[in-house]
Amino acid sequence: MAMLIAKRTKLTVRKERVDGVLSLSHTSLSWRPNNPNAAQAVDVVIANMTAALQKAKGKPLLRMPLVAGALVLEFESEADRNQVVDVLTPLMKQAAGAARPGAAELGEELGPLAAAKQQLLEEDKDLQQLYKQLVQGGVLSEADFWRGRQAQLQQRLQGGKGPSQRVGLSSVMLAHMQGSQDGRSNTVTMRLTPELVQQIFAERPYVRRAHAALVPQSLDEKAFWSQFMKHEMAKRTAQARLREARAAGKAASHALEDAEDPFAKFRDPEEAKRDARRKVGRVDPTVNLAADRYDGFSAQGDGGEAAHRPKDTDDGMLHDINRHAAVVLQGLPSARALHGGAAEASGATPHEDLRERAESALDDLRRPAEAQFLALHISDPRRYFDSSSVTAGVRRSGGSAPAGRGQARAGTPLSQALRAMEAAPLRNSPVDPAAARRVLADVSVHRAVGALGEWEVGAGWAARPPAEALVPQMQGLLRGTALTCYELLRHFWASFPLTTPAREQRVQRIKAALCEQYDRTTAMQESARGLERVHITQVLKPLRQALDAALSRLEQPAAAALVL
Amino acid sequence: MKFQLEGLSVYFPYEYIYPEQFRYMLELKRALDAKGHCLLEMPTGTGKTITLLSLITSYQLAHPEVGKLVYCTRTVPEMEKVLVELQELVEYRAKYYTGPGQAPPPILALGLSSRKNLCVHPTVAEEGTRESVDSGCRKLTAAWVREAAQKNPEVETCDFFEGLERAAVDAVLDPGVYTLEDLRQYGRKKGWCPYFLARHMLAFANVLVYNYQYMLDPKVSNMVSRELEKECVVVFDEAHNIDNVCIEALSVTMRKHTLEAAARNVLKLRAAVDKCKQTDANRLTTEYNRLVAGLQERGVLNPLPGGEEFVANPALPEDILRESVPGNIRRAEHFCVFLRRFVEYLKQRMTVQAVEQESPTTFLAQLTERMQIDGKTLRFCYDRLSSLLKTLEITDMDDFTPLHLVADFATLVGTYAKGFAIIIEPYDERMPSVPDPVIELSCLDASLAVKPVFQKFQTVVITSGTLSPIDLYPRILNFHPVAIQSFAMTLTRDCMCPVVLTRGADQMPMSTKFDMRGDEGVIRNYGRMLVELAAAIPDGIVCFFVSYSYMDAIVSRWNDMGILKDLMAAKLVFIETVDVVETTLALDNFRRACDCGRGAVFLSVARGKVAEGIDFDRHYGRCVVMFGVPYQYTLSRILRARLEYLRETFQIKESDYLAFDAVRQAAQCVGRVIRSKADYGMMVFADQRYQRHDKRDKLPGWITSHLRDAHLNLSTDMLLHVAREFMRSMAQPYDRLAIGKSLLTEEQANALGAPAVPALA
Repeated sequence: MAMLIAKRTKLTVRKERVDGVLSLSHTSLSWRPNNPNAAQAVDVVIANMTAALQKAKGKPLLRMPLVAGALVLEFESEADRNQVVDVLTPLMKQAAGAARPGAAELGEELGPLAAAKQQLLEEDKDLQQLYKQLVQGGVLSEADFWRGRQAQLQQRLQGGKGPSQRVGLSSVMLAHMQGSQDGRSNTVTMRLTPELVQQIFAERPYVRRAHAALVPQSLDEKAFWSQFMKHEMAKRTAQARLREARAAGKAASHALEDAEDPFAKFRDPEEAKRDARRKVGRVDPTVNLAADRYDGFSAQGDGGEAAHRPKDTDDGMLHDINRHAAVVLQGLPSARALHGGAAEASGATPHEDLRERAESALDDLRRPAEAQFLALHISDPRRYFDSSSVTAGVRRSGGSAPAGRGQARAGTPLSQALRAMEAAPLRNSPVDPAAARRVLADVSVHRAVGALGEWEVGAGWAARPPAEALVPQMQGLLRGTALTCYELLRHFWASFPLTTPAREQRVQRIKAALCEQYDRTTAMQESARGLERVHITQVLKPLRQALDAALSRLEQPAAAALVL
Repeated sequence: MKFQLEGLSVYFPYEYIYPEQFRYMLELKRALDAKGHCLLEMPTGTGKTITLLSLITSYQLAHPEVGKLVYCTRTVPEMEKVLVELQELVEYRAKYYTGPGQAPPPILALGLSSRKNLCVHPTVAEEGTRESVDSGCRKLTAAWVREAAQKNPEVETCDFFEGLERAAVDAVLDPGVYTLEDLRQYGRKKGWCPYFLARHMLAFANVLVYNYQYMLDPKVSNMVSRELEKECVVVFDEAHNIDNVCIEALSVTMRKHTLEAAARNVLKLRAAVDKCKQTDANRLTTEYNRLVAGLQERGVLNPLPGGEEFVANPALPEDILRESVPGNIRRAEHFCVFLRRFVEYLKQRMTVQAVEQESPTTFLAQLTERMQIDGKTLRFCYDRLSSLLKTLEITDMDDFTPLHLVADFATLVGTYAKGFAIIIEPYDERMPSVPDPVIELSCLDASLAVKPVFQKFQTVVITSGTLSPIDLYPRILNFHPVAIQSFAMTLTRDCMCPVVLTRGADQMPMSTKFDMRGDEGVIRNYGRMLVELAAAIPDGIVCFFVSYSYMDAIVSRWNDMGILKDLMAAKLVFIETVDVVETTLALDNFRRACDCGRGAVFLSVARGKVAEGIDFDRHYGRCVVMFGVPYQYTLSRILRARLEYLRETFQIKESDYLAFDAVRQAAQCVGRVIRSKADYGMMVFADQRYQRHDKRDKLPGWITSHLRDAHLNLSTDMLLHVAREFMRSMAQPYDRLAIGKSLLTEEQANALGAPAVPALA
């Protein structure tokens, strides 16, 4: 490896200074004593140096905090020391950047992701159990274990507030923000939160501009906002006066201008218009009254509708209300940025929307939509069903899964009955769902009884569902086993096709674990007695079928290509 | 479905049809067969538009001798809706057409609007107002500009217009249905000006959709609709306000600033004349010679093809004199002097202290006496001005709008002696202390403007959801329909719930009567009612107030009382304002608020644009509240003059007309919420006065038939109970087991539509 720099230095070892040479390469740092007996050589991988270097002021000293303790070097001059620092710092940064993914592989990463994992494990006992059993038991690697749970982790990282629903603004308007008065003095207290400030900025761009220009150069935050509030209150009083004047039938349009406007120079009357014009281009044509205003030829000019209306009715309040509602609907700019402007990019253009709306206008004149769901097409149904029964039947032929047969027997007439039913009349749900559920419960009990027939036990008593019949400890045990098996199976099937040796190794590892689980379930079944045994078998049936399928898949690698 | 209606194959793009749609078609077909006019009322929410389109286009298919379908709508949004429905119909027809030749016949349908709505020129289209786009367009496309551009390449022209001109006869639209956006896209693609392309294609289209104005306002219709053939079928949809549109088309209002601007225009004109005299005196001489020869026809005035055309004469075609311009205004200088004197006279008349009302005859008599201007000269004022502006090659027409108004006024006053009134008011009666003088030339007779339409076209269909009482319309429009019919609505469930709210929660009466509207208690009761409804009703609520000023006042009072705050806690609030752009955005936001489930309240004004042309169907409007009875401002001089005229000419009682007018507006407002039978909505008439018979009887039948006796005198708390009950029952899945009763299948329609057994000859 190329040497970047070498300097003569002294290393402080137990309060003594030993002469030597420091040399740096791209990945490591080493110090060799001039006299090999005076001290031990030091070799440090740069990637392991995490803490910052410490320089002594006025002395050519450098302290490098390392995992095993600090390394203190004395250079011949400060220039030397600085030169070394200049070379070393970028290398450390580079190494730190490269080290991160590697660290994840080793499972000793830090930072938010690890914290999220830790949190998830703590919150979910089942997950913890699985983690202990599989990852710490060496069946699965850490990365494999978490790969299937990326979504959960991501969500956790985003603050864990559940699904990414945007928090909307309150509909209440600023104009309604009344300050509190203590009643003794003439002061009014207002409380502004950052959200409120954001909202004010969004509703009144001129306030944002004023804020940017004035704070903190000529006004401090508090002075600015009190000025704003005072202005708002003055405006409200003026509006009230204007209305009174109008009610009395007097001209009072000058009342508004009386109030001095500290924000006058930040207002841009054109801005709102420009903005509006831009937006009008995108609205639904069926509400586009602006287009209507532009329609027609008559050169009425000011003789049109607007002239018939009293001119001074608009004191800005109606405008404020509309503007406020628009802002609330749009959300604050920060929230929008977070959600990638989902509202802006909502696909369809107004014209497509219009088309859709027009088509759904007289919906009841259309024939009800025929098929809400896509039909499932299986190119060769026989092979599909046969292959599943073959895989299920592999173990059965070995005699260890007699339940499968019971299912087939009880299932056949049921599936035939289902197939015999026509789909068409089902649309309106001819049967009361509650009644249907009762029938289904009945049928499954009968099926269970059918399956139990082989254990020469009578019927009747088996009517209770296993959840009630089994003791909680047993249920917990079964649940744990099932969770483990399913987790293993997930990884098992995810490893196919077996294209790399690494995958094969993993599959073998998992297979061993699966076999173990399989034997465990067998043991559980066999150790149980009587009624309990029946219930356990029933509960374990699907699990064992899944295990059967997995194991048989490994036993017949050639046939497997055909099935998949 | 495709079914036979007395021998006519009708293509209808749905699998089922409502019985009333079927009857409507039958009635319409008979009117078409009889080549006469008809007046049809069908409730909103029964698909009137598609029924009309479906029948008339099918009729055109079977009877090629029938001309175009000219579909007039009130607003551009309505126009877009019509075109989209037509698109769907045409697609359907193309799929199922079987007939001679087997290929579906091509159809060309397009909407026509102003330059502002159709322009694709990158800079001109960005102009803010209609007038500025018009003049921006003229600056680039006027004949003299194009002529100059040929000599001097520096002169800017419009590429799209030039593209269209180059393509000349090849510039045709492919068959299809074009909305305004489609036209713009097509124009961009081909590099042709969509506006002039559309104007050019009018002659070839099978279906035309445009605003009422284009048919009724002589200024526009002389220019656009003159070429239409007699066999056309003209439809006025949403025609309950047609009389007001007719009156507006022939009325002129001038304020003080209009006259001042007109005076400035005259000066500018004078300067232009002087300049022209120095540089190109020849032009003025040519014009003079032309006027002497009496070549008044537009074609001769405009020998070069160009986009500069001005709006046409405001008088009706038959009343325009085919004579030469009188000698005293033939010379440009003389005409300027004449205009100056006339404007001065109007200004002087405006300085009155009390309201004056007179007929055009008296006005003219006084004018002759004081200024020695006679009626005939006035009559030519408009054409003379247009001719001069063209001669002077003035393109920034929007600057001359005030002078145009004055010329309009002069021509109308000079032309009509009867059916008009001139009213001069020194101030608005509502604000007597504010001087705001106005001269209004008001048309009193709605039948004047619509008369040429009835005379010219074979079949005129007047239709709306609210034409009650239906026999009033033939009288005020002065025509004789071959079919008058009002259809009821067949419903399988009560999807409408009209109620009359008379009292607040405190049992105090509620009304917008003049002496009550300012009352604190009434305002509070109205507000609390809305707040509680907003909390009880899901999605959108629409409110209509009697006027802008009332809405403004009540909203600010609600604000002071803290009611607005409570309302906002339940739903977002949007308000219609005088600014259309803002209103459009508010409507768009309102829809989005309803779509996303937040729910919203839209506050709007009866007689406003929103009440005219915006639907609040489905979740956009689950409830509509009509605050008060939307009477016109009854003290208005114009209204009084009109009422007098109606009484004298048609023997219609004043109070009857006022109540009729108010109630039709209210019915129109509440009808906005129902757009199909699967839709549902509540209609709250919040005023004590709706309880009375004279109001209730004027409501259309489809509302009164659902108005239960128990719902005629509700207080707020009872209203809420009714509302909750209604919303709960209606929100259940819609039962479609109504085929045969409120829906007809293709077979049933065929069976009904079979021609009756012909009587023995």
